[in-house]
Amino acid sequence: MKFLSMSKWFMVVLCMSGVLLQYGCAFKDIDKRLFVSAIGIDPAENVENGYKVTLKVALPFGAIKDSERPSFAYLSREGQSIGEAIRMLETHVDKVLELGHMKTIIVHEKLLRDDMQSFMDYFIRRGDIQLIAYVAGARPSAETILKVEPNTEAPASVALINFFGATANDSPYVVTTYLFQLRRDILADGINPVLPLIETNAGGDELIVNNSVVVDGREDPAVLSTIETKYFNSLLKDSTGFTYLVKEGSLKLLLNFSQSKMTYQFVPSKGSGAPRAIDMHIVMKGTIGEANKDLSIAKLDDYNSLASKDVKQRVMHFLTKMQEENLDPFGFGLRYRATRLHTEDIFTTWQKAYPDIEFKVTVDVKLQGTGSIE
Amino acid sequence: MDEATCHIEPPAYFTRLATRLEPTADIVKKTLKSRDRVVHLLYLKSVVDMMQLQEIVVKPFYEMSAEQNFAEYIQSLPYETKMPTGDEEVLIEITKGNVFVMIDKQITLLELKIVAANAVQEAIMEPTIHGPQLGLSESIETNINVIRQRYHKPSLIIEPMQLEDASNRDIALIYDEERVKPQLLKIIRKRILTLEVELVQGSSDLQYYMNNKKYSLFPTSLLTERPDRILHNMAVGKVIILVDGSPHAIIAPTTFFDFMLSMEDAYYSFWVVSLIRFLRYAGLFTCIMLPSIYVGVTSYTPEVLRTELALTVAASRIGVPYPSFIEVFFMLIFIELLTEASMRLPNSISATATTVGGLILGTAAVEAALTSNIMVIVVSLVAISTFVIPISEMNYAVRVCRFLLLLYTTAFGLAGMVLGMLGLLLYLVNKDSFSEPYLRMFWKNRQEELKADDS
Amino acid sequence: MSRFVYFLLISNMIANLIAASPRIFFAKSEEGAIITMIIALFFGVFMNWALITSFKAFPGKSLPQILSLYLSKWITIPVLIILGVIWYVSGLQTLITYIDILLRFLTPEMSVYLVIAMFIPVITFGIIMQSRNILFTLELVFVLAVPAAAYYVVKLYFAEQVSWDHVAIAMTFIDNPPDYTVFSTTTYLFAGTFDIIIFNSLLKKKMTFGIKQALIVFILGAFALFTTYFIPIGVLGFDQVESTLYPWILTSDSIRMKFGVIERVIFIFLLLFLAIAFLNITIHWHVACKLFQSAFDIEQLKIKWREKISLVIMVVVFWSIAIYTTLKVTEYDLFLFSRYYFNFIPIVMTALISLMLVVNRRAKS
Repeated sequence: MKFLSMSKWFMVVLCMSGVLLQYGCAFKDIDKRLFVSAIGIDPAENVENGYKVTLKVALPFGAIKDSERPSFAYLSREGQSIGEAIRMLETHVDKVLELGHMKTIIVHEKLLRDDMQSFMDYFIRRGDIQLIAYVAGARPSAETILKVEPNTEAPASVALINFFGATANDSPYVVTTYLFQLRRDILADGINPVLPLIETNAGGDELIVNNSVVVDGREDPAVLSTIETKYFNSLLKDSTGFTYLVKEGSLKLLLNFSQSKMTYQFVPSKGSGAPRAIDMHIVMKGTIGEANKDLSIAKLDDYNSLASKDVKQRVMHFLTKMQEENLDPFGFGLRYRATRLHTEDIFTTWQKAYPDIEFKVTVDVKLQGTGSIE
Repeated sequence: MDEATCHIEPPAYFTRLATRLEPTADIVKKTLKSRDRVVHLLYLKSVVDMMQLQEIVVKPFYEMSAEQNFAEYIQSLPYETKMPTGDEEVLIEITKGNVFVMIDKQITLLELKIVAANAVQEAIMEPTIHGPQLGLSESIETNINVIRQRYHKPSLIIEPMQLEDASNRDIALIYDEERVKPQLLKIIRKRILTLEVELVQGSSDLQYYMNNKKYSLFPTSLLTERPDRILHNMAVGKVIILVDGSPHAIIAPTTFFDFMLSMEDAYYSFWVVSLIRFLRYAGLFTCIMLPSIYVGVTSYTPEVLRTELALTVAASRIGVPYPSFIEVFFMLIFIELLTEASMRLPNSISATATTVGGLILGTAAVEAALTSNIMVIVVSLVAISTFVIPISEMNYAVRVCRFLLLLYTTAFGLAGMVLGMLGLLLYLVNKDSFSEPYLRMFWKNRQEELKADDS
Repeated sequence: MSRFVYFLLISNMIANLIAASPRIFFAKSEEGAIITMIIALFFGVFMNWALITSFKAFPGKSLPQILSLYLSKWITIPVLIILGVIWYVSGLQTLITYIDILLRFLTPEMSVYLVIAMFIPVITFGIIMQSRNILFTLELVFVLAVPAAAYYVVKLYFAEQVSWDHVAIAMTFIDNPPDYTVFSTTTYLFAGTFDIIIFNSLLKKKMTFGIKQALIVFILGAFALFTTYFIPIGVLGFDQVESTLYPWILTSDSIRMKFGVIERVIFIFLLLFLAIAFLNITIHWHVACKLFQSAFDIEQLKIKWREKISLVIMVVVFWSIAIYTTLKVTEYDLFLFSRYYFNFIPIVMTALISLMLVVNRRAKS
């Protein structure tokens, strides 16, 4: 017993002394850290092929309940690489820059091409950056967008974060793309990632997110219009809150869709295995939200077909536009690869077939009522 | 008449006993004499019931005619205790309140003791809404009576023992012969008989001495004042140890889960009990881990928090001059002081102490930027959840654990906290209570599991 | 089968998530990973059956006890030493991997010595505990971890972040020819049961391994394999998944709890796996420790405190090697060395079962 307790004490002393020698290198109090809440990347003005990195640092405020406005500090620096610029920015502040809470990465519109690889590499290689950070494009520049402090922003919160991820804002016009998702889609064959595009108004006190960009490594990104963004979101991600205006003669109907579901299949061409057409079926369910005439429930079927026809047209337009630009935000190519047994040239077959593929869209609108009044 | 009494010399044995008790003031040597009949009585008047003595011994003596009759009468009395061998033992019996009666050559011990504190007390330590409201008393006889009253079985054995210490206290082992493991009984008997202590005051320190280890944090036997807890444990084959003069019974062996059990659990419906138990374990984990979580999260990995919360915590720490662990240590010690102080004070003052300490000092400390708001919340939560643990010994042990875990976390961060908890778990699992595992899961019936181990 | 055997099996399966096995699978994802995993799944169940059945005749006896009864010392001692080394390395591999993960993801600024120091007291205490108590600890940690783990798994399968298209692409590679490394890595998933070579001394009830048990082991294995392989592919994408060092860490970091107390699931994952990794190391090293003790025949030595001295020597040696390798080994070395190690496993398993066959035959005659 004595022997054991001796060795026990010896162990304890040994461990404690070891700990005391090493102790303190990772211990840093929360008030000695600066939380970077967003990072903006612009092309550098003075450094060739470099970047200008802007950090938005959320400052903790004495009494949060009393302060009216959130307070932020902005740090900017140009450098050859993002990592280098951030390292240098660390020398501009008195505290540790903590990137663990960095939730939004805003990239200048112009940089959303081949540069993407290198940023993502940095962000993912650093272990402490969240992979569930949102990535967005910025117009006119990332720095301007970061410096916008909207009036609706509450203290101790960051407006940029609330836009995405369906935490606060659920609008079908807002596309959410996480960092890991962006990486996955860029590296995968057969899908192009879509990023939200953040803009600001003339006064510089509002953030507007209703457009998006389709990123393709080779050329300048294609911007999706507001309407296209809405379609993209509701078809692929079943976003709710989708409204739609039907005009037929003097009748104007505003439809609110609560569900939309898209399924599609590849139609193989005779002879070769290449796909000839995509057979797409869209089902949308909803109610009538606004009308300029009296409606009757009996005529719901008429409204259904009216809406179906219209939606079909728009979807067709969107799909063919993407096809013309040779972009694939829906990931048809990926699905094609997933539904065929693997062969060496499966993806080249698809790439050849996609520009000429035919879309056969059927839309099935199912209105379930006329809202709370007839 | 006086002459006659003087004639009768008390027997040598009687004198020997009397002289050994001598200088004490409450000793009574009495010789009853009527005609040629003589009876010698020796007792301590402070522990003997005078009225009974008068009724049972003195009165019949003068009413009966022959000496022979009276001797037989005394022997037939239900109050008789077994006569021990040896002077010392007889003397101990006398100090316990027995009356030493000597008729010619016949010696008898009559138990006519009076116990001032034999009233059954209200259960204060473990109050429940339902279930028995009264606990045990400070007299061993009453306690045995309380137990017998609720457990009518011939297999209930009361095994008297005597401690070899300064006070020669009565101890009783109580168990259900059919359920108890003989091996366990042997261990407990051995433990008690081999104790080498100066003085045992009551069950609390007996429990400590029986623990057998000098540095031990967690209790291996349970102290209770509730008869329902005693029965509950006896029915699963445990041994109850009663000490005379102490209103608590020791239950041995115990497992960790016994300390987390309130007797109230038996009186409510399943879902209510499930909720209460969940709360209790949540309280246990909170009060051990929360201070460590605070240090680990704020000083090592603030990424764990949501952004808004991280900013709030950072904001509340603005101006606090000390690192988080010193803050936590200060506040914990402060809250421990408060708890200790309110326990020692009379009820009427303790409320004031808590208010002054908790509310006023807490607010002032935050105002003076000595600590953060969040810290005050953490510490109060810890203090409250500590009291959810039903048994106070476990309560104290957990309070100590908290500090140990805090040390480990301060050195190693959140991962250290998890490893520290695992270490604590290992310690508890590795511990045994009277050679039964202290912490383990029981899926099926307790007995079956134990049997499966042995086979 | 006793419930503890299942716990041993499951703990090993889970601990593998963070070790090198997913990376090995992904590296071979276009070279027959899936078909091999299916084959190895059956092989693993078969191995479990063979092991349990061969130990059936000796309830309450550990492997060293059985071997010393029926085989000569010249065979027993080398066998025990080899097995001891294998078990030690198995624990070591988990330890090094986890220390690396902690340094990379939880506390990047902390020094490596401090992280090692954090493990030393707790694991040492675990190793020198009685075997019985290790099983109890295993059970308790399971009970404590199950709610969080169940939540985590459900979250994984229902997260919108998982792209099932990528999973489907991975499945299209089903027709490739099998690969030995994947086979051995999958087999290692089932190695948890082999801990009974020591713990069998506590399992005194006769164990049966019938259809029901086989089915349970099969389902557990299939579920573990499916999760290990396909979920990271679904989250990180099929095309580049092999380039990530710790696919499972990145996968958990990609899952978000919108309304949780903690938003980032990765912390739940890291802390949960710390407990599992710790158990895994403790169990393996405990087995290794017991194997070495019986190989060197500690019981026979006539020294005072022989048990304790042998334990102290063992612990010191274990940790010296562990600290040395942790400081020296690079990530690439670890990966390479894990592959060699895994390749070795099916051979050892088969050899062990054949040995048991011989012992069984001798015991009968």
